[in-house]
Amino acid sequence: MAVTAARARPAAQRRKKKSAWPAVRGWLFIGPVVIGTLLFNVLPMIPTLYTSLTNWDGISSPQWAGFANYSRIFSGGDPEFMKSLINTIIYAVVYVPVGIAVGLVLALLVNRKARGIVLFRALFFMPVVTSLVAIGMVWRWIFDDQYGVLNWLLSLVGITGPHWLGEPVSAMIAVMITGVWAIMGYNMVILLAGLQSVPAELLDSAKVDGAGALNRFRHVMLPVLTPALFFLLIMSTIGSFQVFGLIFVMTSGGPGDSTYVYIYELWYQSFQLRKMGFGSAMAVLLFLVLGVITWIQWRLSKRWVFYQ
Amino acid sequence: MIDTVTATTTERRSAPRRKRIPTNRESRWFTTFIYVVCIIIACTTVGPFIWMLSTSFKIPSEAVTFPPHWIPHPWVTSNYTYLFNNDILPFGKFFINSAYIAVLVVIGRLFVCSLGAYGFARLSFPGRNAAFGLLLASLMIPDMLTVIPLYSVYTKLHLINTHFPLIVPPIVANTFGTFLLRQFFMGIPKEFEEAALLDGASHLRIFLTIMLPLSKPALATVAVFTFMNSWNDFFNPLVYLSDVNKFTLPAGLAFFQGESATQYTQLMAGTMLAVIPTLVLFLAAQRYFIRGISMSGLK
Repeated sequence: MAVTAARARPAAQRRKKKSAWPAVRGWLFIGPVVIGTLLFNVLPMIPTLYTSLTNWDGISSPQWAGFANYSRIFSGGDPEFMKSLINTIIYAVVYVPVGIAVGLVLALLVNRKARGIVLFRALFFMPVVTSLVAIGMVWRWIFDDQYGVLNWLLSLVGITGPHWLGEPVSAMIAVMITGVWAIMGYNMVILLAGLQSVPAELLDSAKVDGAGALNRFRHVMLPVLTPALFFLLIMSTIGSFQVFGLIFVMTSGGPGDSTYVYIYELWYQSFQLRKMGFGSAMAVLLFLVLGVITWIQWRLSKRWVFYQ
Repeated sequence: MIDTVTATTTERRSAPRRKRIPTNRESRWFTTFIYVVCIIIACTTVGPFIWMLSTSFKIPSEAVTFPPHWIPHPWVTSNYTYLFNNDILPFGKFFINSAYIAVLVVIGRLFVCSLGAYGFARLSFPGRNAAFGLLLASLMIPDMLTVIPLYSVYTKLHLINTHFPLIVPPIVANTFGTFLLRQFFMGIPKEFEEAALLDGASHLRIFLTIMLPLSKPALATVAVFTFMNSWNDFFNPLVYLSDVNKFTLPAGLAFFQGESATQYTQLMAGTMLAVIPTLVLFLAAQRYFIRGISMSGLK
C-alpha cells in the first residue's frame, strides 16, 4: 500500500527534487489503521452483496439464487422475518422518543451548579458503562412476576403487577423500559453538553423580558438543543434497530415471538440455521432501511434543527 | 486544550450569576424538590446494582422470598466460590479471557490509532485526505453487513473458535480512536515540535517523546472506551466462539443462564463479575467518559 501510494506521484516528487520518503513515511503512520479498516470493515461489505443473491451455508461454495432471498423477504415467505421487523419497528417507535425525552429531563435536572449534582450525573450514567447482558440478567429478575422487586413495589401501592415477561405486550414493555434505562444516561450527557452551550446572557434577557420557565425552555434552550436532539434521533434509531443482547437474555424473543427482533432473526438464520444467503439479504436490507430512514431524518432536520 | 475551553466557558457562565444573586437564585423549595427527584431517579439507576450485589450473597432459597429481602441473611460467598470451582462453566476462565482480550485490544488500539492520528494530523502526503475520508465513511457500515463474509474467511483460515476475531479487527480497524486522537493532536500548538524538528528529530521521535506525553487525557479517553466496548461485547463472542473454555464473560453469562441447574444467586454473582470492572473504571475515570462522549458522540 505504502509503496503504491509513493509511486503514484513520481513526477510531482521529481519536480520538487524530493524523495518518495514523505509519502512512505506518511503511509507508515496511517497504514495500519487504514489497511485494517479496509480489510475488516470496508471490503467485507462487497461479498455480502453477492452472497445475498445466493443460497449458502457458509462452508461450501455459494449457489446462485438470483433475488430468491429478497423475494422470500418481501412476499412474506418467512413469517418470522415479518414478525421480527414489526417488533423492531414497535420497539424503535417507543424507545427512541421516550429515551430522548427521559434523557432531556435528566439533563435539565443536572444542568445546575448545586452541591453534589456531579455525583448524580455519575449515578445516572452508571447503566451506560454496564454490559447489556448483565443489565438484561438483573432486570429479568426485577420483572419476575412472583419474586421480582417491581411487582413488590407495585404491591406496596395496592397494584397487582402483571406477569411481565410472560405476556406478549408486557414483555415488550419490559424490554423497552430496560432499553431506555440502559441508554438514558448517555442521552443525558449529550443533551447536557448542548444545554451548557446555551448562552447565559440569552436566558437572562429572556427572564428580564418576563418569559416564564416553560417559555424560556421552549424559545431559548430548545433551539440550541436541536443539533444534539437530531444527533440522538439518528443514533437511537440506528441503535434500536440493532437491539439484541438485552432481548437475548431477558426473553429469548418470547413469549412466543412477541419480542423477537431483527438482529435476532439475522443471527438465527445465519449462524444457527446457516442460511447465510438469507442472512446476507437481511443485512443488506437493514443497511438500506437505515440509510433511507437516516436520509429522511436528515432532510426533515432542515425544518427544525438550528445550527449556530 | 479541552480543559481550557471548558474552564473559560464555566467562568463565563458563572460570572454574571454572581452579580444578580437574589433574583436568579432558585428558591430553596425548588432546590429541595430537584434533589428529591434526583434521589428518586438515582434509586432507580443504582437500585438494580444493589439488588445484584445483595442477591449474589444470598442462599438460593432467600432469592425467592416475597417480599424480597434487600439485606442477605445469612451472608454467603458460596455463589462466588461456585463460579470458580464448578465443572460445567469455568467462570475463572471467562474472566481471564475477557480481561486479557480487553487489555490487548486497549494496548494495540492505542498504538495503532495514535500512530494513524499523528499521520493524519501532522504529516502531509499524497492520499492522506482520501484515506481519512475512507475511515469516516467506514463509520456508516454496520457490523451486521460484514459479519457473514468475515465468518467464512475466518472459517477458511481456521480462526473460528479462537480469540483472533475479538482481538485483531478491533485493534486495527477503529475510526473512533483515530478520529478522537487526530482532533486532539490538531489542537496541540505546533511550536512544541518545531524546535525539535529544527534539531533534526524524526517524526517518530516527536510522536513518541512530544505528542504522546502531551496527549495523556485523550489517550485515557480512548483507553476507557475501548476497554468498555471490548469487555461488554456480546455479539462477536456469540458468533465466533463455540468452545465454552474460550468464552468471554457476557457469552458465558448468557450460556450459564440457559443451564437448568443454574441458581439465580450464582447468576447474579457472575453478573457482578461482568459489571465490576467497567463500573470501577468508570468511577475512576468519569471525566474521560463524559469528555469522550461530548467530543465524539460515540460510546
